[in-house]
This record gives sequence, structure tokens and C-alpha cells, in this order.
Amino acid sequence: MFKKSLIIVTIIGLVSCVALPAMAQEIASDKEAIQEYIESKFETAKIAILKTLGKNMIERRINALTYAKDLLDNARLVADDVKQVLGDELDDTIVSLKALKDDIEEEESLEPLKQKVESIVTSFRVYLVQLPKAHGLAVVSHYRTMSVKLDEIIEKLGDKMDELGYDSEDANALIDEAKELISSASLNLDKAEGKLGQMDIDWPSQASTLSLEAREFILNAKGDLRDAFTKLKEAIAKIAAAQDEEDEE
Amino acid sequence: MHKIISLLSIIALVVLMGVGCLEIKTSPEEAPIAVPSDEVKAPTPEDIGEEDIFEDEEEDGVSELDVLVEEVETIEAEAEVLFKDFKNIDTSQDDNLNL
Repeated sequence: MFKKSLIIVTIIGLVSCVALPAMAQEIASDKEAIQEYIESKFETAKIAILKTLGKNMIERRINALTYAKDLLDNARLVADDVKQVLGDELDDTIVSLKALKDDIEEEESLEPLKQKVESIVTSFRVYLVQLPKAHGLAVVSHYRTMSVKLDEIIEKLGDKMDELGYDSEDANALIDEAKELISSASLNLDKAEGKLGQMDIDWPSQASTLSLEAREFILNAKGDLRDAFTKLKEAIAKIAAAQDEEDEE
Repeated sequence: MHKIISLLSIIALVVLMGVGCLEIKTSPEEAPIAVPSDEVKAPTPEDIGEEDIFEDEEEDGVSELDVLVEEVETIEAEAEVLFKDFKNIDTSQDDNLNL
């Protein structure tokens, strides 16, 4: 029994020490591959490294784009035309990247191979333009949905107050403040959408700035909506207290 | 004696597994997009100690307002995760390669 447990412990220990770091090794970064490419003195080795690098870069981009496309498809409150154009762009990029992957696999000369691998970045700008655009619009859509739901809460609160014959300055003030915050959030979301819409593959240097600006507007909208929600919950609590009092009477 | 050795072996195993796990590091380049977990759920009004203020209104004991509050909490939690994904996109992956 003791020997068996010792063997099991040893095996599992070896797996931890050897296999897990080996798995981590598999997830080598592009930078390491590029370093290896630079240090390699043989053309055949350079070609092999570039092919692996290109394949990994493309697969990672396709996975990220597929996920972004899915997000965009599920973003209910993004304008249909924006959704259509960006969705088509993402689909086209996926198709082009797949074709480039085949092309890279078949290429046997170093110089053209270098250019093809470099074009994975320069021709698509997946991480600089396409993904931030799709993700940003999905976030905007979610906050717009939140805004619509908060409007519905305001409407229901009004109905409830009418039903109870409850008219409180405090509750009304909270609801008015919430309305203002929702309007402010809506403006911020419009601005964010505008910035995201301006991002273009042909203007990669602008993309980072536009993405950061969009982020700031989303952050403002997020704060506005959170504050509006807090105020509405306070109003709900006040109305609930009023209803309790009425029930007691 | 054997029990002590077994115990020490188990402790050694836990330490080794811990070391193994620490070795697994995913670089930002390799993990550009965090897929939101399906388990992200907004807390229910009960979780955060809020009263179900209109519980007698409907057959199932949940008022429309409670449902809306819960929906908003869910949407907010989802948006938070999406926003985090958006912020975490590693744009340095599009730095020119210069091979």
C-alpha cells in the first residue's frame, strides 16, 4: 500500500514538474520565435520558423475575429447598417487570413515568405482596428440595453406611485436625477460609437487614439448608468416603505 | 512511520503541483481575448439584502419591477466583462514585425 502510494505520488509529481512546464513552453510568444528566427543561420530553419510563426499568428487572429463576430451578431442595439458593414469586414478578413495561411504554408522562398508574414499585421490590423471596433460596439450596445431597461424601471415606478397615490419630493427628485444621468449616458455612448466608427485599417496610427477616446466615453456612460441605477433603487426603497406604511394602516 | 512518509509525500506533491502551475504563464500575445464566463450572474435582490417590494403582485411572487432590476444587474455585469475584454485587447500584436 505504502509503495503504491509512493509510486503514484512520484508519477504525479513528475507530471507536475515536467509536463506542466512543457505545456507552458508550447505557448511560446511570437517574440521568442522572432528572436529564434534572427539568431538562426540557416535559411531552411528560418523558413520553418517563419511558417510556424505565420500559422500561429493567423490562427490566433481568426479565433479572435470569430469571437468578435459572434459578439457583434448578438449586440442587439447596434445599428443594422453598422453591424452589417463591420460583420462583412470581419468575415472578409477571416477568409483572406485563411487564404494567406495556405499561401504561407506553400511558400518555400525566404524573401516572399517574410513579406507574407509581415502582411499578417500590415494588411489587416486585426488587433489595432478590427477587434477594438467590434468589441467596443458590443459594449456600447450592452450599455444601451441597460439604458432602455432603466427607462422601463422609471415607467413602472411612475405607474406604481400613481397606483399608491404616493407623491414624494424625494422619490421624484431621485427619478429626475436618474433621467438626467441616462440622457448623459446616451450622449456618451453616441460619442463612443462615433469614435469607433472612425477607426480604419488604412489609418492605424489614428486607431489607438480613437479607441482610447471611445473607451473614455464608454467609461463615462458606465458611471452615469450605474449612478442612475443606484438612484432608482433608492426610489424603489422609498416607494416600498410607503407601501409598507399603507399596508400597516 | 509509513503514515508519516505518506503524509510527507502528499505535501511534496501539493508543492510540486503548485510549482508546475506557476510555470504556466500565458503571455498577453497568446491570450488576447478573454471569453466571458457563462457563469457571470448578477446578484439577486435577496443576495444584496433588498426587499422584494411587490411580491404579492403576481402569481409567481416576482413583480415586473423586480424582474427589471434583476435584468439590469445582469446586463451591467455582462457589459462589465465585455468592457474588460475591450480594454484588454493587446494592440502591440499589430506592431510591425520588421523581419
